[in-house]
Amino acid sequence: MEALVQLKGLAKHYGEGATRVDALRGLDLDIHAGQVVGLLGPSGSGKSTLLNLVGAIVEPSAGWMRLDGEVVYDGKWTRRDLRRLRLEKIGFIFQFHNLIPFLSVSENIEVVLDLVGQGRAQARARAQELLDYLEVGEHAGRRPSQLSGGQAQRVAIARALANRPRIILADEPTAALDSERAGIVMDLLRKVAVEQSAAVIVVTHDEKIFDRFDAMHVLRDGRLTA
Amino acid sequence: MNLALRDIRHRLGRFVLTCVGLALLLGVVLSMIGIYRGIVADALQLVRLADADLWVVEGGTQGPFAESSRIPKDARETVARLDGVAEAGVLTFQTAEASYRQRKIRLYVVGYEIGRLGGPAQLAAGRAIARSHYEMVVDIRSGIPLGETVRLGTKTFTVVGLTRGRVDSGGNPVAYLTLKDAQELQFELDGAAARNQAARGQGANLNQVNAVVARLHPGVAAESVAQTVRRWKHLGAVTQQGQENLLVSSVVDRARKQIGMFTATLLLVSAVVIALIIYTMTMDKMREIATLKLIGAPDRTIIGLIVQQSLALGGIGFAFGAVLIFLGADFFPRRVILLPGDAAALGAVVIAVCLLASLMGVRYALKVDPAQALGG
Repeated sequence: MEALVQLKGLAKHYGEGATRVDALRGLDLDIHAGQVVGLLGPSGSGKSTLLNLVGAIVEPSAGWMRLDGEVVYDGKWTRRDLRRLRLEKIGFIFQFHNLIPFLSVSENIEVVLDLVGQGRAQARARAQELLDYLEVGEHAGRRPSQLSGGQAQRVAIARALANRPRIILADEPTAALDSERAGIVMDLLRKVAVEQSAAVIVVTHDEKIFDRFDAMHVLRDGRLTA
Repeated sequence: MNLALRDIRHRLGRFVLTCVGLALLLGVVLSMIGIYRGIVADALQLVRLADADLWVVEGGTQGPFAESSRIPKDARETVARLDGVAEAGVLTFQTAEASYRQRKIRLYVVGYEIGRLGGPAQLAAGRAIARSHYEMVVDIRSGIPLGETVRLGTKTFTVVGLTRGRVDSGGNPVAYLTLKDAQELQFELDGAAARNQAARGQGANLNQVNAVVARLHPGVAAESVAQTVRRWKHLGAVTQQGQENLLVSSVVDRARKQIGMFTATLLLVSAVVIALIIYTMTMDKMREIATLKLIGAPDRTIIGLIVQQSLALGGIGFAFGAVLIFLGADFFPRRVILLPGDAAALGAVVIAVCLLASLMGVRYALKVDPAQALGG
């Protein structure tokens, strides 16, 4: 079975000459549909760079990357294509949920569907479906500021799932949660990976969820060490 | 989904307060334009109040509204006999300070001959001057009611009639007196000064007026009659249109430039204020903009968010300001004339200013890196 995320010789450096910093040095990695993969490493190891590369935010300096069967950065990709790729195939979950404060809980999900051109009624129904799925359906009309940390993170997961993405990138999704809520979030990510046949990549330092991954990769100085 | 509207709703108090501040600023801009229109209208009204087709003035001068003009009173008979002239009247103009109940009121005094051209055509209350002495018709803006007495120079006058909206280009209410009273007010001296003049063998010259006004028969070209008058060297003649142009270009021109400069400065201040507000509002949303970009929002969504807020700010501020000034125009000490065309033009300028002002915010927003949404 072909991997959903394939990275081959992926490298990224910033600056040139004496100021050159190699953030990633020839990374090979395959992640399959249904997998929940953990990415560990100290600060400056290249975790964020890897997340930015797989998230189609920055371009690699060398190597190539295949996401859901498409080779990205083959010289033909425009900024608009990358934006479209993020919108349609990648879901992002952030450490501090990054919900938009001037939108209601439901609208935070609807906005993603609005961007792909879905009708309002359809978007609302899908948002409610997702919120119910994540057991925060009763908060649909509230503002993000009225939610607890755990509830807000679930809404953020709902937003990440709105377009049924094949790849979910989570940046420290449990860092602000206690053990019980962190467990719930990881269970949800697992459920999504299995039911939607998605690949989930979680960047984390959170030891309490280390046992929740199918595979864990450790980054050090821009290289995978395990 | 309209993100701009939702963000405004989220920060409604701040948005409304900003709109109120902008409304006051744009209201001042609109009032400046209205004040200028008022100055022009007042000035033109002054020259139109004689209801004349031709102004005969001192030779080599541009008439009493631009400079000093003195001609003999009997020039009226000469002008009245000209071919094409239907009727003629003489007028004097001067600014005088009147005393009314321990209050000083500055009046623009017009002297005219009863029954001849140049007197008050329409009265708001009372009657026209009927006696040759000590009666006055004054504009309602002076605040002097009918029947009251007013001290003017060395004489006391009774207000017998009131006009409405008759002021000079400086906003002073117009007061009508008989020609004789006006001449005495202008040329007669008081007490010791009069005795000193009499001892020198000089008396007040009551044969002088400032202008002769003439109404022409229908179909007669005012310019051809003016040319006939100009042949007499000692007299000059200006058509009604010429007099109006002269007044606007000479008397009102400086006020127009002054107010124009002030209006432009205020518009510039408004642009800077809008730009700063929009820029600050955009900076406040930096994380939200990064998140929107990260999840795939196109640039047009981000630009729309900022430009729509800028337009809403300017549009609502302008509407508030316009309503404020339309409601408060009558409370200004000077006439404020608000024309729909002026308001529409200012509205268009405000929209252009808002679009320009939002550029800084748009530039900033487009530079926001979506990666900023990731990480703590």
